[in-house]
Amino acid sequence: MSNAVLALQDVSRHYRGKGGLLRKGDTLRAVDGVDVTLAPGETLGIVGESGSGKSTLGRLAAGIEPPSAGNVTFKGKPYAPIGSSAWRRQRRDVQVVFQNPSQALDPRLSIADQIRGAMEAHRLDTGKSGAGSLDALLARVGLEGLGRRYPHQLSGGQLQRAVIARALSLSPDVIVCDEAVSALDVSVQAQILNLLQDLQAEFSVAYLFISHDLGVVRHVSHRIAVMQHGRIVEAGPAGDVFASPRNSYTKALIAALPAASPSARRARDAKRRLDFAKV
Amino acid sequence: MTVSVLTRKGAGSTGALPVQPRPVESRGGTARATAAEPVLAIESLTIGTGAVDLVIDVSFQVAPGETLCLVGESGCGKSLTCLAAMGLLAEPVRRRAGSVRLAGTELTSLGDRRLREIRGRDMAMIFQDPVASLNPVQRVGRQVAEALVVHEGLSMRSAMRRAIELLDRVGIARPDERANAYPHQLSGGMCQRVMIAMALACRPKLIVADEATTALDVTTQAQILKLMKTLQDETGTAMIFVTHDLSVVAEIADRVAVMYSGRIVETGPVDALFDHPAHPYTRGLMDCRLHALSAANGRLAAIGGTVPRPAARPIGCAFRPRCPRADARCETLPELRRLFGAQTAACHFPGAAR
Repeated sequence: MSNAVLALQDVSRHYRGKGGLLRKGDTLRAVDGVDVTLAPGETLGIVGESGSGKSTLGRLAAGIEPPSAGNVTFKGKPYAPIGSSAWRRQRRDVQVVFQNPSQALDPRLSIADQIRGAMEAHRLDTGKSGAGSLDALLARVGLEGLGRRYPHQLSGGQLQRAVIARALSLSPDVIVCDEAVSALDVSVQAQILNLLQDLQAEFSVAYLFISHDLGVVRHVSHRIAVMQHGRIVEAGPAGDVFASPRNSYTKALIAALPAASPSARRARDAKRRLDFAKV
Repeated sequence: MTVSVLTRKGAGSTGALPVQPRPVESRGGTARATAAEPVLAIESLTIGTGAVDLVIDVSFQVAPGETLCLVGESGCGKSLTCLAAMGLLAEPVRRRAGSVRLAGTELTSLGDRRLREIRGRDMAMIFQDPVASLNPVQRVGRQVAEALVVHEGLSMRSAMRRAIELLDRVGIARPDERANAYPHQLSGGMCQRVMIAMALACRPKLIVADEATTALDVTTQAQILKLMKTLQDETGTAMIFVTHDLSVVAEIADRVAVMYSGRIVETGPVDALFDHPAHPYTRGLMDCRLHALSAANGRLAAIGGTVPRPAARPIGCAFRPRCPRADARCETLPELRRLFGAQTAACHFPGAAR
């Protein structure tokens, strides 16, 4: 896709064992020949179970890890060498939101100072964040008047809002969300998902949305890619992948999903007994 | 292998005993369990620390063979309630009031030694993180066998034999080899199976599973849930299943108790709760569920605001600041009232539309 903001072509990331967790000489193929593109303003969901390589894929996409093979291009250019000033400039436009917001924030700085710090690190005018002034930005993510609070004074949902505000202050083209709502309570998770969708509509930021939760990914994504053993085994429009899966692993994942309600569970169990009887 | 290890073959008793859990041994004149009697009965349980109450006036019962799901968001008191049921509360958190009876035996007045006899034998607990709950420097087979040595007086040799049968029963392939493995050599799902084997070892009357499948992948979770249901059908063990995941509730619950900010706000048969949730909090939780097979329909019906801190609960109904139904009446605490059938809710406007 030529208009893609982010493109991974035949990308692999292998880790070679040095005698620790991996035995010497063994190779772990965390990501193994993956092709992915992300269009501006789009949400691509990456689902898979633990160890499938989805987080490594996110790190490759964000440029914080170099591929062992293949090309990662951001806005048509490959990432500059990690640590270089050109790389730092590119990294401003690809932000990452991780699972645990309290680990992503400095406990000794107020929320406003952390956002200012991120902007100063990227030599941006702190008067003008992605959504105008810093106060306007905080208000936009639902943290109005809380800029002077420290992380320990905020709830988990509020902290994740702060992390999102910090990412947004740099006006990124892409935000990689790695299990960004997984640690939140369901009621708060819904708030953050709504916020992410509103921000996308407003700032046309693209999300690479990584999660083990198929329900969450189904809800936020335009397109979905299913990962297993470092490979993408199925990809397509969100509505199609789960409604009519073609790959056997995708089918297994969906078959393993807990039922939406007790009546749905009984209907499913009755159908399974019937299918079993037919065989 | 088709041998049911849940019979007491080779356990030093005469032949195979029925698979039902045995009654709690009555010592000191405590009542014996009868069929009509609940396995666990918690009454007016209040738990707190310092000046703050963390669990307030919680009452519920679990019948033999029944699964009760305790549902709620983090900090609502569901885990503390379970720990209190197991007699595992640790300072500075204490039980302030209320009673916990296991098959008629009041546990709150028992000493540590008696409690240790009952824990593991008559009731067992499965935690969220199986790797952290297992001893990292001991082979898993031995850890399963330990309960049998302690509670059933088996020799280590015959306890190991039973442990291997149990590992087989919970679906671990090549159980004789795996019994020699250390926890770090097994996957998370496998470790959780070991935990279940440990919990089942003495055929307890009650199993308390605290977020037992939360850390597992969906495919593993489905296997573990199915396994627990199958084993429950065989043994008639009562189960308390703590979870924040309503689709897990739909899979496994017979009855549900919803907790919010330390109190039970709604209880009922699982179908009633899904079909017509009465409390606005239950309703809110139902509305912001996401399921992979339902179409995405724009914005989610999120519950605004956050759970209050226990030290800063609003007066009256704790859900009031987040509630779409709230008015001045909600400044007085609503009692848990029976609505229809077995469903109860603590709300002045139960079942009202938004």
